[in-house]
Amino acid sequence: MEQKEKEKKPKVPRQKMPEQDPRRRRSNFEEVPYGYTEELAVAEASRCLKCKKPLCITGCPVNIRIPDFIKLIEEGKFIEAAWKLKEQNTLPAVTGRVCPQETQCEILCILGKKGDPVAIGRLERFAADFERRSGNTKLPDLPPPTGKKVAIIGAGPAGLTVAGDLVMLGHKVTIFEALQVTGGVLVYGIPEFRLPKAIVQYEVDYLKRLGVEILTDYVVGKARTVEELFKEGFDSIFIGTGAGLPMFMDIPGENLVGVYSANEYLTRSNLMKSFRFPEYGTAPIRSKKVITVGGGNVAMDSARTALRLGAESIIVYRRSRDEMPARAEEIHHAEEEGVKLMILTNPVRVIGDEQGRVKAIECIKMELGEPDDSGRRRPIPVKGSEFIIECDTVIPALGNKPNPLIAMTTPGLKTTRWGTLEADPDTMQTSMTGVFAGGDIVTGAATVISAMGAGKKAAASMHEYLMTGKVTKPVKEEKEQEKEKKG
Amino acid sequence: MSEIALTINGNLVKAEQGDTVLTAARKAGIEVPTLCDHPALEPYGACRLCIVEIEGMRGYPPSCTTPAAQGMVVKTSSPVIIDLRKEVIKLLLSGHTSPCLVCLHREPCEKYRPRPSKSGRATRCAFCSNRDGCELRELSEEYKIDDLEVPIIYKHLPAEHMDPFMDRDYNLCVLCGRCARICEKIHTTGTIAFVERGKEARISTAFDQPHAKTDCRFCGACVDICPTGAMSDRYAKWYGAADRTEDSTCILCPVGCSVRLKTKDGKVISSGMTAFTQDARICAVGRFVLPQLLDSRYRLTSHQIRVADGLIKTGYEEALDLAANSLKAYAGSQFAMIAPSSATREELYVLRKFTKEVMKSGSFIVEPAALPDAIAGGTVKALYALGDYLQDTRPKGLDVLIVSDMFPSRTEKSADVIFAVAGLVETDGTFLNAAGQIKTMSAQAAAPKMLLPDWKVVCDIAKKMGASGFDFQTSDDIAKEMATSKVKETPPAAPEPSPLDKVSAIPRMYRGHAMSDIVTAMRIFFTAQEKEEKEAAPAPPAEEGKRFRILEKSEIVPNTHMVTVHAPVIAEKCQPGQFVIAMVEETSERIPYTISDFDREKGTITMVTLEMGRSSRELANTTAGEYLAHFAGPLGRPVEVKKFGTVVLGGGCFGVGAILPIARVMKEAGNRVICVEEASSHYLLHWQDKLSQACDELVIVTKDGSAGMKGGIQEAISMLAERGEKIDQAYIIGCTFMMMLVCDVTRKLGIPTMTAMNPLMVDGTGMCGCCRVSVGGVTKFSCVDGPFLDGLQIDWIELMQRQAAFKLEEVQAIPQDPHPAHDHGIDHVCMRA
Repeated sequence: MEQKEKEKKPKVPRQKMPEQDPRRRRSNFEEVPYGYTEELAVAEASRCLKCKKPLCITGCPVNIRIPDFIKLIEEGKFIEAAWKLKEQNTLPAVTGRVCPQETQCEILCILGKKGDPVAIGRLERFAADFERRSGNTKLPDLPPPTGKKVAIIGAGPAGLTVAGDLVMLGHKVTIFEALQVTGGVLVYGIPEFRLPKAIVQYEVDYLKRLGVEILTDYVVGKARTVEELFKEGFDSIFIGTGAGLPMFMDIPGENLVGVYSANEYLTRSNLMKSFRFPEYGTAPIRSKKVITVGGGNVAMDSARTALRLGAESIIVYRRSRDEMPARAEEIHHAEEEGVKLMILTNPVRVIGDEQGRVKAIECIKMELGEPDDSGRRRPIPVKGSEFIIECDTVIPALGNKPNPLIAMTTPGLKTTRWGTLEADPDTMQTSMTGVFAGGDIVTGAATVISAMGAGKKAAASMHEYLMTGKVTKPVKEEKEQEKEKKG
Repeated sequence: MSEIALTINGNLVKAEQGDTVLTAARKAGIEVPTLCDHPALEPYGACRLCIVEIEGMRGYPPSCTTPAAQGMVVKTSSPVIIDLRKEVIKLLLSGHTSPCLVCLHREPCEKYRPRPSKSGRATRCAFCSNRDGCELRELSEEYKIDDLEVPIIYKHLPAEHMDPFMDRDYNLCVLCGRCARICEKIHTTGTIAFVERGKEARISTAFDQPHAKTDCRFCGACVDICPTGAMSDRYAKWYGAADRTEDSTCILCPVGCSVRLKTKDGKVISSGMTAFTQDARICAVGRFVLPQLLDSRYRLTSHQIRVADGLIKTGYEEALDLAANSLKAYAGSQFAMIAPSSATREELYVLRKFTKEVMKSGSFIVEPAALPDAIAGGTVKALYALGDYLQDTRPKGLDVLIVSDMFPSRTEKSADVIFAVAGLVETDGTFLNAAGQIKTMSAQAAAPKMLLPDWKVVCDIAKKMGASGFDFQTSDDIAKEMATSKVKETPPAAPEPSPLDKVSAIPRMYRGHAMSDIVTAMRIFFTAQEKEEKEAAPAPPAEEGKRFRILEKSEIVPNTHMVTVHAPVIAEKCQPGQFVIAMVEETSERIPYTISDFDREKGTITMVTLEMGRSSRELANTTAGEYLAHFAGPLGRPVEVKKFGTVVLGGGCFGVGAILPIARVMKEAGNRVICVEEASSHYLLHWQDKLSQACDELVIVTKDGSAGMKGGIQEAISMLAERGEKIDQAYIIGCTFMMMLVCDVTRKLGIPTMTAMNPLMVDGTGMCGCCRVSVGGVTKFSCVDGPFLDGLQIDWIELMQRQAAFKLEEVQAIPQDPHPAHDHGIDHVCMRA
């Protein structure tokens, strides 16, 4: 059956997305890909087999009706395609850019079995961008108000998703954000060249137009506790405060001037716009040679930002290239721009001068041993292989721990030994009645889309809780389970 | 003139008839201290430092105004004179903000704080940009002044920041009159003079107008001749002392004045007159704009070439290749070059030679000539523009556009190749000025990234194109060839009126760029109409949705600003010891401020801050009724409140306010609370009444001993311990240096000491780790683990090094545009000793 459908289709190759010349982009903060043109989008959409039982949807944490929106693109109904996306996804322009589609929806695409899968992410991005650029954003009709008030703590991807879903169900939604702008990791962590802040702002403005109230500069856990929010009349609360505490390497010399957490390095540039210093007041980190330690997307973001700030940029990673947790596309982009990778290398100490400023880093060569708990081969130091790299900046990009602020000030909330909040994986309900949580605060540092997926689950259970006072496991899933049993 | 002989300090010395005693002494190599005296000025006799004893004369005449006479017997340094001079110096210091001179901690202070802090007002030497060049300071060191018996009288004059390029703070002025005298000497009708009389006497303009509203030409002579730091160059002041001084020529207009450049690490930090004479005077552009042009943040520093996507940065060789290959296809009238008039003779020679010999074209145009029709009309196919001369879109029919410039421009936007070049005083060579003089350039300033001057770029293109005769290595090589060839040079026309006589006539354009777009402080000289065009009135800030209104704002004591903000949510929850993050503008840093007071009923938070750089200046410049862009808190851990027994709370500078809420809760918890307020001098003491009410005892310490005990918090704590107080806990808030010194004492006395950290922060909520501090070998985040950390275990040196991480950027961040004068209110009652 699938084979038959495939035969009907003319052979159209997976369409490439035009990109900014790496020679140009390595010195600017403009977005790397230009996105599909209408022609390219229609051509790519035509490749979709519109499977009866689309596997791609099962790979999507927010269950976007993928074949439906792609069909609309193929028919030239671009705005309608954006609308189809927005039924499931509040932030399509964001997820179209930062989701690891290659391990989620696209990996399940039937076309991928014998060739290249449909470029679902690029099409998602195209539809969302088309709608935004058209200036023709329609607001959906909202149901009558339920009279219920919801507080969302943290305006990152999880919180924004919950806000979008609950406001569409008629609830009164207020988001509390500690920083001065909305977006969480989308604005402080992910650089402009990967996700333009204007796009985040546009999607946030859309929520505001739907009636979501956003209070920035509001530190819940300090200015108010969770209990106090209930006393102030909120009926349910969502905690999406993310994993914002940076981890360091715990090696000598880490407090030298010139060692910056990836969070600090990126926050200065992204949130505080230090690359526009002195128009913006926050000082930029001016380096000649930057060593970024780590192999994840944050390491790639830091190393590529370093290039754009005019430095020579090297990534030091203790395992091999295959174990790098970063998306393949990010590693490719980084190398294309001129970031150098030093794999199987681990820092031992940072060396400073008499002013306490970094002048070099000492590293040791590693080799791979047996697989560890994560299933990846464990890196083992090669004795006597220490060597020194001269540099003036070191950026540990080793991941983040959950933000402890809410847990510290909310006695009723149970946490795990990693400091994350305990929450039911299906309903996202925490140990406190009426309090739900999702995103990195529950999982530890993960992806934008998994946080949004958790937000969708939480929104569904919060709606049920608000309307009935109960939280049950998702009905759909039960049905599916029954089906499976019958099958 | 006849020679005379007199005896000075027992030596027979010779002098000319008409010499003063001071001149005679100096000729004989005998040093006599002076202050109001200056080689460029006539003797004045104002400061009385140069007093001497002359046999047969009554009293102690000033040597600067006493004519030397045959047979005179003079003593310049007898014990009586030395004692008297000390008194004179003390009297001078009493009119100057000099408490640091007699501070017990001066030596470690200068060791650990090698550069003065970038304050809004210099309330003491540690905050004064002229610290290392202060003549009063040199005198006090020479005469070993270690006590100020005459307390400092702070004049409470506003700090004047409302003019372009210069800051003035007459609270530092000792009335030597050098500025007024040099102004009169150079401009005949001086802009500034003494006003008022007696102890009210001060320097000012007529009717106290800002200089921009007088006939001031902004030559900067007053700034350069001031011995005290009362007048300062806003741009140069925090960079520190120059490491090199050399003369060159300002070629920004046909006058071509000589300028004396001061550089530090190859960067021009100031440009000034080569002598304090009328002939050597320069205009505001030569004095103040030139260094800021070179150091502009807009400066082009990379060569660029066009690819399909747009412009990309590239290496010099690649840019040369593209330029040479593109030009090869054109010759004769198809090529034109437009060069700036602000160029050296050698440069113009090479550019003309290239146009004529390599491109075989007669179209060598030196601005400001109008663009020939050939360019607009489509005859010219290849254009080499050394500035922003096209301005609008690229003319139709132009195939190749090569731009060579120092700044980005509209012309550049459509260019095929862009060379970033060195210019102005970064080049050597000579300049033919309007007076027909050939002036020398010294290439004093180092161009960023070793950029090359225009002539060198053109030579390299010519060589790539296979042309010979362009093998010049230096400007001198070009000059030699020029000497043998018959180059006709006509001096450029002199500007009328002269920029030296009228500030409105200063040069405006360089390479087709309006200089005021690059150095915006220039805009103040524009006529009202021009100003309107340049500064489209900014939309009044929308108040809708703004939450953080400033209810009260005042400069409570000099350079110390108190801001009360309406933030009921924060006020309801904050606890003593916590801090807030404030952003005055959307472009501001997130800056932590300790909560100095709060009122839960009124919903207000009060902060006290010193003006110490850009961000605190933004806060200091606010007025009641305005809104802060952002305000978040309360952040950090509150102090631990319990019954310790006797608690000492020490506060200095901004920390004086911060100990107040802690004193209240500690008292409520049943402690005996002793507050120690530290200030450099009596005129900086504040909130003594509030503190007295909140504690059991208030100890005042001043660095100059003008009020309370002489010394710092550490001396107060030693005194308390000596008199038998058993101190169970100390909390110290103030600058890092002070807290470190206090901890040295409390450690010895065995007093547990918590200190309020003030490291650099970015977010203030635990996200970035910028504020990490080593406490007993463990890394703590000041924002979430602090702000109070165990002072006895802190690695203070590491903390200070981390605080200094962005020293240069902090100087560069200071905006150069004029801003309102700070007037802290004359109602402040000066506390007498």
